[in-house]
Amino acid sequence: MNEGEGSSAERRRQRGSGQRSERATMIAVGGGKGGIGKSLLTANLGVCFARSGKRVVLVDADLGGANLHTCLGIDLPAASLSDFVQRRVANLEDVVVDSGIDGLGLISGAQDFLGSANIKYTQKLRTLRQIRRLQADVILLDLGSGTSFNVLDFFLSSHLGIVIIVPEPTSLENSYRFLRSAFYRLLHHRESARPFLEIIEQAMLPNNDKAIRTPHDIIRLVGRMDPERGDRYRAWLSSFRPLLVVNQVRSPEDAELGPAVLLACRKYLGIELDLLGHIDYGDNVWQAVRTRTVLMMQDVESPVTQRIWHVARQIEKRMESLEVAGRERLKL
Amino acid sequence: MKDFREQNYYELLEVTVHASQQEIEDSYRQARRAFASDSVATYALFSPEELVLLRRRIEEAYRVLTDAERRRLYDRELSRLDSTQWPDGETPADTKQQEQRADEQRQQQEQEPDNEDQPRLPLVESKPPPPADEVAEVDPVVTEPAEPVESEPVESEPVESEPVESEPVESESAEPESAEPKSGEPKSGEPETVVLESTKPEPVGPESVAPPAGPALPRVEKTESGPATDAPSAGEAASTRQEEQLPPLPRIDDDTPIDGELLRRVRLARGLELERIAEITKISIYYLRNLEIEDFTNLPARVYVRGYLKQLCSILELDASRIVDAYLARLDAGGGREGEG
Repeated sequence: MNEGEGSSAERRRQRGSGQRSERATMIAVGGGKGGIGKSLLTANLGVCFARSGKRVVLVDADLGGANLHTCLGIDLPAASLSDFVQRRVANLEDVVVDSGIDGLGLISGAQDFLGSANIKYTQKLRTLRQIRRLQADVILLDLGSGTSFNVLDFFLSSHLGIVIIVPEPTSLENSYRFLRSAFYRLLHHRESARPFLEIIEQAMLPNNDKAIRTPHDIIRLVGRMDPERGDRYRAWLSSFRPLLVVNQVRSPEDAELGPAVLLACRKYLGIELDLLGHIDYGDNVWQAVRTRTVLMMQDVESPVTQRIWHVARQIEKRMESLEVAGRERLKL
Repeated sequence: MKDFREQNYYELLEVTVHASQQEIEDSYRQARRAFASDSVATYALFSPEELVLLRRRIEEAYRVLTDAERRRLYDRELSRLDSTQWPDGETPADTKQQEQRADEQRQQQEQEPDNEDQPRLPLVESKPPPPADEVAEVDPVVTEPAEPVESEPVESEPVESEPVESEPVESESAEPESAEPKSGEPKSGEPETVVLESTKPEPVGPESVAPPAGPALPRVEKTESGPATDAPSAGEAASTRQEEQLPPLPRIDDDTPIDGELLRRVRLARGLELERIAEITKISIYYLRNLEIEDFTNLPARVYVRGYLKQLCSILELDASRIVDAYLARLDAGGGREGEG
């Protein structure tokens, strides 16, 4: 039995574009707000993973605002995710372009049509399905800003979800909204019974008349109607563990933000974040973009690069424990 | 993970029940920083009222858990509560308490509309219901009326003040860092009435700690900075001294204008300095002053003003339902002494 399973898994892996192999770890990088360094960090983490021998594909899932290619210092590729979404290309593999860095491929974002930010549900499922099957060890998704269902679903479908914040109130405001929305969306996917769905939908409205402001409020409401269900929700809440990176840190006080956010988030939302580390603000970051190079390729000694390496190693650790613990995530 | 309003002291400070003094200190310090009023981490998450409440609870947790004797009593209550199941989370409460609850809920409804029938945690253990005039019923802190626990770890206490009779002396009700509520008459016997965490099921807004409309219970004030003398320090003088030195409490009837001047007069009658209120509420003294002098152009957004007013009412023992909207109406009418302050 066991050996049979092992070898068939092996075969699947070797089959190339095999229909069912999903060996890659999907990591989404989000955070609600634009301009906080999502794309740059995604690109640089991609380089880290590629340098440690992994096959990496970066996916620019910022539908409508794609610029991951710029962070990699390459021109806008001819093929992009839109070709796949628009069904001009049948296989997502075919829009992976070379980034110029060994082991690092790129699926450039949709540029051409306005509606791409609102792709249809079926298109989204098809896209997610094929992303999961990309031939890679690590797939990094660079998410757009905001809390649209598409963004949330890409985040929730990933094995690991990273939220980036910068030490600014606006960033925290958006990130908390993002985390809350993501959890509500997760509940909504997992729930199927009407009265409970209605509660969750209420919660998604910012000023809902049920005054649901936190996951606790939902759990309380649901638990009152159905205690077992409330317990299940509570278990989902405690297994919802997004990763956190504090970016653009300029002072020692900024560096303390991570632990404080963990505490606040835990206390208020009941969401337990997993802090990967912080990354200093450095002029070399934007200078690298300007000279169309990737920081991690150029500057190996700067504090910023060191920090990014640290974050990358932390992620690798989480990936290893995923291998052991199994890969639970939302399957759409 | 529970809502912080439902967490016990250990959960609040995120330490185990076996935590050492040092662990508690560290955890407390971290929480203090994270939930300071200028902390970015809480931005857009907690309302100002929730933050005040959370800070107060953390302070109380710290105070109890770092005091060996109080901690021991608290542990005992915790373990007792663990084995006690209240039907449907309902706690035994006398009618007065319930009336008051309903009253406060009415006041809170605007901001806290959903709390009407939250499941109640088994937080209260009260064999005989507490006497109606005991403040224990509204104070979301541990109340240990009987056993004399006086060993405060960090600070020295001003006075073991003479047992004050229950009269509305000063309002320290919202004081986050002190106020071990003491019942006026030292009772004997085991502490059968120990209120863990919040007695009220919905300790939400600051007014949740507003003392009952009746006589407020005097407390012994303990301050962090207070010198270990028999005399209260200057800052405390107003609150510990006799009532007759304070101006009379202004009467508020239907045609009393609810304005900044009224707030000021009530504050003076309560013997409270603006600085003291700022310290308790963490509201900037600048805004507090502007509320009183009605410098409406130099106040924050209306929603914050509402929160400030509620906190202020709680501290001044004013009926928030009466004051807050009336004051806001005045603010909306654009009266006040614009720019004069």
